[in-house]
Amino acid sequence: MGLSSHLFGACIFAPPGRAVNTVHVELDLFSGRENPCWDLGQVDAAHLRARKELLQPGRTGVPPVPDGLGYRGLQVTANFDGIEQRLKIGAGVVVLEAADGEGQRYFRDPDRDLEKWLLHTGQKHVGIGLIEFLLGE
Amino acid sequence: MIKVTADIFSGRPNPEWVVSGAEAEAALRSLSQHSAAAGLDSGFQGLGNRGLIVEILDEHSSADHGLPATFRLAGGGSSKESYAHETAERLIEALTHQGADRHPVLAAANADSGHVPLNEDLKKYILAGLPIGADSIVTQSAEQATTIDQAADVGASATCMIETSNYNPAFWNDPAHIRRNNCYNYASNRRTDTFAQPGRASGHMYTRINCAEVGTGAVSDGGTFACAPDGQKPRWYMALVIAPGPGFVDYHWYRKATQGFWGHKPGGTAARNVDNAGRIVADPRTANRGPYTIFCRFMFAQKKMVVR
Repeated sequence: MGLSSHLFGACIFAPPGRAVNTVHVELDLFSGRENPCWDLGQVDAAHLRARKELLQPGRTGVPPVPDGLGYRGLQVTANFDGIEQRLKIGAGVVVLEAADGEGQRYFRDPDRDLEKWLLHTGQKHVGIGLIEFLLGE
Repeated sequence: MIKVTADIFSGRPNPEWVVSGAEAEAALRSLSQHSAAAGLDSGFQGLGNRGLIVEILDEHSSADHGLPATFRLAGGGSSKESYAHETAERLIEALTHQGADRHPVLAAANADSGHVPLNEDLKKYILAGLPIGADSIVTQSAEQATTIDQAADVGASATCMIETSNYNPAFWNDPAHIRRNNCYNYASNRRTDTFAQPGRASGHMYTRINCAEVGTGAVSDGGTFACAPDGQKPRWYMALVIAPGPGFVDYHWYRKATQGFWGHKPGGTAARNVDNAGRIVADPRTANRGPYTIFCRFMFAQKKMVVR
């Protein structure tokens, strides 16, 4: 299989967003290769912000965000109105980590709806084949 | 005054003793001078001898020596393990000294608590099982290292000599470095902070992801499929696997540790010695590797290897 169709832009050293509202998404996936990543446009960023506000807290019974080899979810660095937040989204869980070290908060992502939506925002960056593979896992 | 716990058991209570006076002062001074104390969660954390847990029982000693009140010693977690071992040996020697087993802080003061007696046999047992230091490199034959080294992939290299070092995830999981180093950095034991790619340093980076291309890229960087000479120590023992797709295409590497298992670092996540099923990686060929379903081969890093 050729590599060219699987090359993604490196994103691990991307600096924090400087604009007022920025959302940087990293698909936490690979071991050897650099993970694919992309930035949301303003419309999608506003949509994510609205959905984030509607998330329901919950940890009991929530499976852990996956770790290890293979798909590990989405790492999101959002900057809304100058406040940076980091989210890890996967397996029906959203982990919100405040950049100021306030700790982590856990939310539910029923039916992985937010995760699926975010994956599709990256379709033109990673290809529909990979997204369908991940959603089919 | 120091309380020392030999962190060696899983079920029964660990042996504990107290070291005081000049012995304690000398130990703390040495540890302070050589930065040989390590965090409690550092170093080897599996079954077996995990080193010593040292608790400083008077607050001024901790402050005077700039040491944490509680830390791990000679568990393989510091970068100055040779100094850590020297001090640990002194503290272990002191376990049979008069009064070492009599102090209110010792649970062992309760004779019914199941503690093993503090005697010469215990001293030898702890000393013999201390993890080999993170800065210590062990040379062994691949054949002796583990039976999997006799696999056909190694073939003629069944008598290859390899080096291993103690499993030391703390070195890789430092927040300043964890996301900047991947499986290839870990396997080649080169923390370059470049998310290294096989062949990139030598100008021959893979163009397709399969066993031949990725393996050849590593050879171009100075790795080898064949035995490496003594002049190329340390010769780290690596294993290459591939996720062939469809959909998911990537490669992954493991490196053998002195303890006999294999460590690895999935991308920018934490280094570990367990597979996707949570089991210790005793054999990368049979480990649960998720989508990395193709085992390519074992190979060797060499002294001359450069990765970027």
